[in-house]
This record gives sequence, C-alpha cells and structure tokens, in this order.
Amino acid sequence: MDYGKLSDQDVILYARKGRDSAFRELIRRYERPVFSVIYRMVRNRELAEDLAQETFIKVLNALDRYNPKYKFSSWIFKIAHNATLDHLRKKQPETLSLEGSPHAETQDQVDATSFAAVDNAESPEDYTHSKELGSEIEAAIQRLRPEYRAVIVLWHIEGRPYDEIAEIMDLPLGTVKTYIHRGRNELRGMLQHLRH
Amino acid sequence: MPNHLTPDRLEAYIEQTLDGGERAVVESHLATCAHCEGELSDLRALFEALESLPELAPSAGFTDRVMQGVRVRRPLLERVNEWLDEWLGRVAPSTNRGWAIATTVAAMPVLVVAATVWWVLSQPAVSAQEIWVFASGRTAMTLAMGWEWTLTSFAGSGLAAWLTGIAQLAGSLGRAELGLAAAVFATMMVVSVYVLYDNLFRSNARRIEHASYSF
Ligand SMILES: [Zn+2]
Repeated sequence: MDYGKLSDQDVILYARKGRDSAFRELIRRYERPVFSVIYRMVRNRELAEDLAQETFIKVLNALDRYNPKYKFSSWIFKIAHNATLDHLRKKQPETLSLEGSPHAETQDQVDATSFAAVDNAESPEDYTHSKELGSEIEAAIQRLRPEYRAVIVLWHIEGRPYDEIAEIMDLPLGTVKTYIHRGRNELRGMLQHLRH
Repeated sequence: MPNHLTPDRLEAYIEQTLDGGERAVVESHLATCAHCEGELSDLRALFEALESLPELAPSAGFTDRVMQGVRVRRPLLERVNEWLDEWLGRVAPSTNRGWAIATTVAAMPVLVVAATVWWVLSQPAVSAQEIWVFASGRTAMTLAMGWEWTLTSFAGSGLAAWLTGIAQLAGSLGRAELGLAAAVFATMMVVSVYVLYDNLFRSNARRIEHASYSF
C-alpha cells in the first residue's frame, strides 16, 4: 500500500480500519518533527525519546476520537507539548505556570502570571552536552524560557503557522506573537557577538 | 531620521504579512535609512540561521517501539480487503501485454466450451431441446439420489440415536429443568462466541494485554 499521495486524514481512515501500515506511515510523517520539538524543549535525548514515544502511543490509540475538523499536526503537537510541559512542571513544582495565564491580555499580565524563575529552574547544568544541540544558535535557543523556546522552535524550525501554534499551546494568538517577538529579541541579544 | 521602523514592523516585513500600503512605506524608509537597513539584515540573518537548523530524528527502532504500545483493531471485512488488495497487487498483470495474455488465458475455457456446444449442435440428430431435456433429467435424478443417500446414512448413524435420546429425556423433564438447561446452553454459546472473536479478530498487542482473562 502506497500512502505517499494521501493526506493525513486519508491515512487516518486506513488506520481506523486497522491497517498496521497506516499507523507506521503516520509515525514516519511525524517522528522527526515531534521528536525535534520535544528534544529542543527538554534537551535530553533519552527523555525526549520517551516523551515522543508516549505522545505517539497516546495519539495513535485515540484515533477513533480524532476530530478531522482539526489538523492532525496540531493535535499531535499539542499532545507532545502537554507531555513536555507536564515533565517540566514536575521538575519545578514551585512555579505557577509555564506560559502565563491564558486570560492574560497584556504583556505585563503575562509576565505576572508566568514564572520568572528562569534562572534557578533552568540552570546551565541541565543542558545536555550533546553535539546535536551544541552549536552557538542551539545553545542560545536552550537559554530561552520554555514558552519563548516553544514558539521559536514551532514557527522557525517546524514552520507551523501562528494560529496553529496558538492552538497547540492553548494561548491567545496575540500572546504567541508577543512571545515570538521577545524570543527573537533575546536571541539577537545573545548572538550579537557573532556579528561581523 | 526621527521615526525608525519598529522591530515588529521589520519582522512583519520579513514574514511578508504587511499589506501593500505598509509594505511600500517600509520599503521607502529602508531605501534611505542605513540604521533600519542594518537592523533588517540582522533579523534576516537570525531567521536564516533558525531556518537552517535540522530536524532531529529519534533512534532506530522508534517506530517498532511505538507500535508495541498501539492497539490495532481490524474488523474481519478489512482483513479480507487488505488480503485481496495485496494478493491482487501481486497477481494482477502490470503491463498491457500482461493483461492481454491474462485475458486470453481466462478466455480459453469459455472458447473451448463454446466450440464444443457449437460442434454438438451441428450434429444432424441433435437439437437444443433434446439436450435440455436430457441434462435437466440427469440433474434431477442426481439430486434425488444424493438426498436419499443423506437420509439413509443419517438414520443409521449414532447421531440420530443420540438426538432421539435427548428428545426423550427432554420430554421426561419439568419446565424448570428445561429452562435451566437452556440458560446454561445460552451462556456457553455466548462465551464461546466471545473466545472465538477474541482469538480470531483482535490484534496480537490486544491479546497480550488481555492475556490474563482471555482463554
Ligand atoms: Zn530608520
């Protein structure tokens, strides 16, 4: 069976009919994007593999409940994002919220409701000393707070549109745009010394 | 220059989300302002650096590890369909020449039968009506013999005696006993149908997961 030309929705129909090969096709399409996002969020390959595996198993076992009104990519990224957040929250129980209150409308409100303890929660010792994330720019991304990092990775590396990112992260569109703008500013600051 | 372009607008310019009017304003400012032009090329460099980052792959065997945790349900009809699909994919000719040969081969028996019928009918003493009477008479006779044979062998078998015994026993029992027997029988049927279903139509993963209470 050649799924090459089929849309995600069509492949899902085959998977729902119980075709093993259709499940494998969905994994083939999304293993890299999903793993990449999680890896850049948690910075530990082994942990990222576990979380990615958990994400796929959850999604593929729930295909019967999948609503084709939404993009499959949004759905699987959302599950991946939540798995990642759960993990990061467990690691830092003292923080209130990673991404600020969803009701925050101004940047000040977002800041007030999101965790500011970036420095103690994200000590440099947590960074993976892997070659894969070792470049200057990867290191800079690692230093962003998780919510900025997530939008930067999803938009710039994975090419997801803003409205999809808002859906994935459960944030208002305006907040997503604020985060990406701030993330870019911080990255530029960190990478300034690289300029000729 | 009093009003430099804001970072927001520069980013929107790179993302190409400005409308025509705004775009023109930004472009005319950029043409005359070295500061904003520099900011723009800085931002562009950041965009390009980010976009050039690779997607990373999980280690080998990821798919299999995921599939071990996935329940694949396959309705019987789908299994048959899938099997037919695969079988046709292997058996069906892939070229026009192949199709021509396959068609010829498939047509051979039809041609042979047609030629035989034509030859028989062309004999002077034979008519279509006679053949029909002969063939239908033969068929009816064979069926009658077959039925008779079935009846005789059933009457002589142990099964007939056994069924008669059951009927006599049932006649000697009261209503309560009969009801109880019927209930036991129905329960056993349901259980065996479930076991059959569980073993035939569920995937391996599913079965392993429920091994403790599958029979
Ligand atoms: Zn300017």
